[in-house]
Amino acid sequence: MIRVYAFASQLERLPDLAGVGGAPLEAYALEDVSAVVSRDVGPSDGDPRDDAVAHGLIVEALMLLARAVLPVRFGELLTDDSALIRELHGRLAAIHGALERVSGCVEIGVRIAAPVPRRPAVVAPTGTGYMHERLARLAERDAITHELHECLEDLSRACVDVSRDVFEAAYLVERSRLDAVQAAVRRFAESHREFTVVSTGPWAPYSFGGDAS
Amino acid sequence: MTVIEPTPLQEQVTLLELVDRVLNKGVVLTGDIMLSVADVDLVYVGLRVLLSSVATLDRLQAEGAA
Repeated sequence: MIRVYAFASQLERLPDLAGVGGAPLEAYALEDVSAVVSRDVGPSDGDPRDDAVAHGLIVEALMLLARAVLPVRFGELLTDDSALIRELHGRLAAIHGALERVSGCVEIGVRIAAPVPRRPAVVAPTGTGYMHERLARLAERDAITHELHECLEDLSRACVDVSRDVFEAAYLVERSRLDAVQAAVRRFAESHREFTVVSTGPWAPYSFGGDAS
Repeated sequence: MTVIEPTPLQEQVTLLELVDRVLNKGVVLTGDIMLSVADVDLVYVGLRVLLSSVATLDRLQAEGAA
C-alpha cells in the first residue's frame, strides 16, 4: 500500500524523516507537483497516535522545503503505483489550483469554548422549550463567530468555519500577516474573557484543500 | 533573548491539535481510511475514540483475535 502524506509544489527535497512505520519517504513528481508518499510493508504495529503524529511532522517539515504544501488526510492509502499515478493525474488541475491558493500561507486555528454557560441552563420540560434553548445557544455562538470573523476578515485570505458544538474555525493567513492575526486573536480573547479562546498554529493548510478532495 | 518553554499543557494542546488536523482535515483521496492495530483493521470514527480509548482498541484487538 502507498501512504500519501501531502502534495507539494516545487519540492526542493524530501525531509530527513522516516515515514510511518520507518518506511523511507519518496516523491512522485508530475509537472511541478510532487506527491510525497511511503510504502507500507504491512499493517502498522505502532501506536496509531504515533503514526498520526509522524504524518503530521512530515507535513510540517515539507512546509520548509516546498513552495506550497497541500496536506493529505492521515490514513489515505492507495493500492499501488498505478493508483497513485491515476489519482495524481486525475486531480492535477484541482491540486494545482489549491496549491496556488495556499502558496505563501499558513493555517491558524481558533477554538472558542464557553466552559460556563453565559445563559443559565434551562431544564426544558417540553420539546418546544428544548428547541428554544438550543436556538438561543446557536444564536449566541453565531454572534461570537461573526465577531471573530470580522476581526480577521481583512487579515486572512480565506476562512473555513468548522464549528461543531464548540466554535472552531481555520484561517488561511499569509506569512507576512501572521503576527497581525495572532495579535488580533489576542485582542479578541482579552475582550471576551468569559470564553476560552485557543489559537493554534501556524499549521500547514489542512483545511484548504478545496476541490482537490 | 528570553526563551519561553511551552508548558506540558501547551505541548498536549499542540499535539492534540496536530493529531486532530491530520485525522480530520487534509485532502481526501479514497474516502475511507483505515487504522490498523496489529491484525485488526479499524475504521476511524473520531478523534476522541482514537485519543481516549487505547483500552478499547486493546479490547477490540483481543476480540478480533478470539
